[in-house]
Amino acid sequence: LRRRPLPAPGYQLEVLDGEILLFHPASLTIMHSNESGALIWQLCNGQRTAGDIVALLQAAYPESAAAIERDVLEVLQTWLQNGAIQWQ
Amino acid sequence: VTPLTVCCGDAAALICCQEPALYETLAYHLRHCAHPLIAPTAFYAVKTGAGFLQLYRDETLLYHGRSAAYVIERLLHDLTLSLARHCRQHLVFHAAGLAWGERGLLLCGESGSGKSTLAAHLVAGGFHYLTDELVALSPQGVMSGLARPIVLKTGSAFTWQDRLDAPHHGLAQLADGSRLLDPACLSPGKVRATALPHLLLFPSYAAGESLLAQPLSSATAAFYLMHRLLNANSLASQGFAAAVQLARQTAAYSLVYGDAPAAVAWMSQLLSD
Repeated sequence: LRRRPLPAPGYQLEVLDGEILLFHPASLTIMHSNESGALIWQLCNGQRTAGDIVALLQAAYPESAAAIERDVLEVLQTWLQNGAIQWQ
Repeated sequence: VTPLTVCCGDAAALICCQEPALYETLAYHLRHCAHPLIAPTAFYAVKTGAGFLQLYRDETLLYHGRSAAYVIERLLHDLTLSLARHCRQHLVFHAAGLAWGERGLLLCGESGSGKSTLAAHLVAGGFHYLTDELVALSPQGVMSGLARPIVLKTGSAFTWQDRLDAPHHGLAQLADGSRLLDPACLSPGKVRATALPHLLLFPSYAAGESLLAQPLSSATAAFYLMHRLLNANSLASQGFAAAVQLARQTAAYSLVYGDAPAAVAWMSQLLSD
């Protein structure tokens, strides 16, 4: 939660109706995220920690606060495994 | 003997065949694939000698043996991959392509999802046939396809048994047991060259299941399309922008079906509205 996720270089972002596609042309890796994922991606700037992102989303969606931490960490882990983010 | 030209998108291959009966069979089954204006990028030759058949792509020997069925199987397989790889302008998807009037339908399924079986039922139900395997999308957004015969696996070929055994088909069974079905035998005059994409379907067959169609978001459709794109490395921007544009402009559904005629009726209704 104290680490700072930053989008990896080379990934292209395409926003379609609130959802996102992350595409890496060199490796042909493509990932799809729903609206929540789109929001998380936009918050990954290398300045905010994962904990900051969780707190921001919990403040915005208090009714889902319990699930947000788990969801954010899952998404970040998936992106990290696919090389879409790196820790700053 | 006149070489055969086979085209898909902006790629073409030339086939020379020394064996007369095999040439007639290939000429019959590949007659919808010709496009003489595209320069060939691959050359296939079927040579004969001492009772053997040899299939070459350029200088590479693909087959040596006595089975004409095996020559056709290897040729169709290799040709499909070669044409897809050599398209530089068109996006090439592993998909079946059909049309209802001007409205094009892409069936983007994995192998075994029933694309060819659905294509046969759709043509019998009044759709035009473009391809059961490779759909090419031009930079202008027009879809075309590799208009080879429909290749039916043994499990679904029995449905069309009476059409498969017509004597003018020549060799219609491949070495792996798959059958070649001429779309013109399902519905004369129903092979066409182009259509405009109107519907993206991602089908999967599930025996005994009722029809279940679910709309897909544009992002999901684009994600699936990129996984069906065969020539990303040959395209500008790896085809991503064009695939996204196609997904944005075209309605998309996932489709689980257990009964092909019911699926055809649903698709006809959707494309007629």
